[in-house]
Amino acid sequence: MIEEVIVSGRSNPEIDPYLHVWGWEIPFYLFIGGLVAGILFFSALYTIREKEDEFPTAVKLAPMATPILLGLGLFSLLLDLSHKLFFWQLYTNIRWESPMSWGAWTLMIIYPLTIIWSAMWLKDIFPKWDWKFQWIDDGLDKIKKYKKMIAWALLVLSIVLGMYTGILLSAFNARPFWNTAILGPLFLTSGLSAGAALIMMLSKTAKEKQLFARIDLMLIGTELFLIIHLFMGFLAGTNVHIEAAKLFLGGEFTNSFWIFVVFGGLIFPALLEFLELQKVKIPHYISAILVLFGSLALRFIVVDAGQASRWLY
Amino acid sequence: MIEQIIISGKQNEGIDPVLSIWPWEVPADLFLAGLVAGLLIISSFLTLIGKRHDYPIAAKQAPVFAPLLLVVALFFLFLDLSHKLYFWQLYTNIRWTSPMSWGAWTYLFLTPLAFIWSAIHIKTAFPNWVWPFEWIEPFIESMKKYRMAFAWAILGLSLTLGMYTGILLSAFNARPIWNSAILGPLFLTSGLTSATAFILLNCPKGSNEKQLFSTISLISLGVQTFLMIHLVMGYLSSDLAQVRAADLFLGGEFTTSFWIVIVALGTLIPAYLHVLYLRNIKVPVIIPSTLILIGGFFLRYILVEAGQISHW
Repeated sequence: MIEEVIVSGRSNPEIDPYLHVWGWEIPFYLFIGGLVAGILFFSALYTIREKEDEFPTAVKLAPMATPILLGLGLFSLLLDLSHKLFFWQLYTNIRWESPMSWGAWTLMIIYPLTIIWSAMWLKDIFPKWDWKFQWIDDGLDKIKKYKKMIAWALLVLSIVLGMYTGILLSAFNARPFWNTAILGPLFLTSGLSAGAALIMMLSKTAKEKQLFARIDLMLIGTELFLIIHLFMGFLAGTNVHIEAAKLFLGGEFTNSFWIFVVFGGLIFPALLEFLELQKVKIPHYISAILVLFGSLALRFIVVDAGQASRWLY
Repeated sequence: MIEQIIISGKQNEGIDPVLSIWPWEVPADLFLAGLVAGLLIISSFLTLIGKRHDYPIAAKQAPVFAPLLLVVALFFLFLDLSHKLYFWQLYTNIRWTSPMSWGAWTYLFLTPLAFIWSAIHIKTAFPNWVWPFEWIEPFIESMKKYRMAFAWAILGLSLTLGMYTGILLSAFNARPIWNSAILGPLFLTSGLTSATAFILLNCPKGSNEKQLFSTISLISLGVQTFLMIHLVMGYLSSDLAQVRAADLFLGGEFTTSFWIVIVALGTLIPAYLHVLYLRNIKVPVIIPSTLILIGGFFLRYILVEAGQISHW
């Protein structure tokens, strides 16, 4: 008898029979990352187009939430780490072929920018705000002169942030359900849609609400289109991809995905937004909350399904 | 010794070592079908949101040419067939799992609609147009009542047509370059970009419409680039067959043609020219438009070629 010793990553704990290393922290963080990307994208876009006063919620108010949201997201990322004290080692190198490295550096740059960006608009939203120190006022006034430059930086970084939340998963070729090129565009679109929904919910003017309802409707359409391509892609792929898709077509994620994400998070709120645009009185917050919930559920289900999908049977 | 007989599709002619069944006809069809899909999507969408009088070139004039382009596309497809006399057999069944079946039925429904749509608008493009028979005029007039219904049908069918041009390839799992879920969205977007280029060629100088479609074209080129980045990232993070396939573009035989013709000439330079135009610098629109249309054709041509060469 010939004895063979096989050393494989699969013999590590929590890898077989299916991966279970990621609990709620990662999907929650991916949701927050996408939402923040969406808010910042629209804020930057309408600053560049000089529509600050026309769409104040999108440009000034909504980004106020981003430093807090990112803080929560990053805290949940930290909770997920097994070696919490060594997180800084991500910043000792740049690996351009690693989405995690891209994400770490993007967050490093975007986080201080969100603080500056919201501080800059604070007095526009709360006129009575007092910074207590004159130098902060002066500093912010100086920065405000460069707001278009910052807006361009935020526009690009927010797209990278939104994309990366998808690519983080799609770069794993060991997990068939994650390993599809459509995940980056899908998560970016879902993040933009969540951002638009939040802006629509917070907005006080009919004009702004209508604009973002229309934008959100288009984004929801794009998301449904991408979801169709996601499944067509799996079904036209290798057998492991077909098996992965079956998790959603009769398998254990069928109900949760089609009910919570596709119907509750996309089709139903799209219908409500369509009716709102036809002047039917429906409070905007209902569709907004459904979209946000659908966006969160999408991350949870995709992260779980990816861990459950695998190559050997 | 145990003898085994293996019967495989690979022994058929034109399969091994590289697939060589599709020369120029199929990519030319895919390009024209994408262009027609883009023209019809834009025209029907503008009609549905009630802006057809604001953007007359895109909504009324450009789609007049759609049926002509569609017929040429179908003729190219026909040329590609080995058994030309049996093309009608595609219409003896519906296989919803086959993109080719989807495509065949979409063509069947969209072509007559495109002719009617073109006839409704023909006097915008050719004001002196006279129908050869008297009964056509009142017939076309009566069709105008159903404009909105036609627009909805055309929007749905042309979106399907644009998607199908990509999925036709991506459904082949034996060819690693084609087997990417991003190909459908990429070809649809590229079709829209080609349509904006075609519309721009017809826009009068300095019109609002030209301004708007330069912006749309720029955004569309941006989305196209974004999808191409995802295409390449997708290959590189997939299995070895796809990583090898991506090498065809990253140092292999399609490197020069892909990066120069598609990325530089077909995307980056026209995008730059659009930016210049939007900043009020005079650029003859024929340059970016021609570059986009050539880039659109070569995107299909190179992907069809590379797909046939890539293998497991």
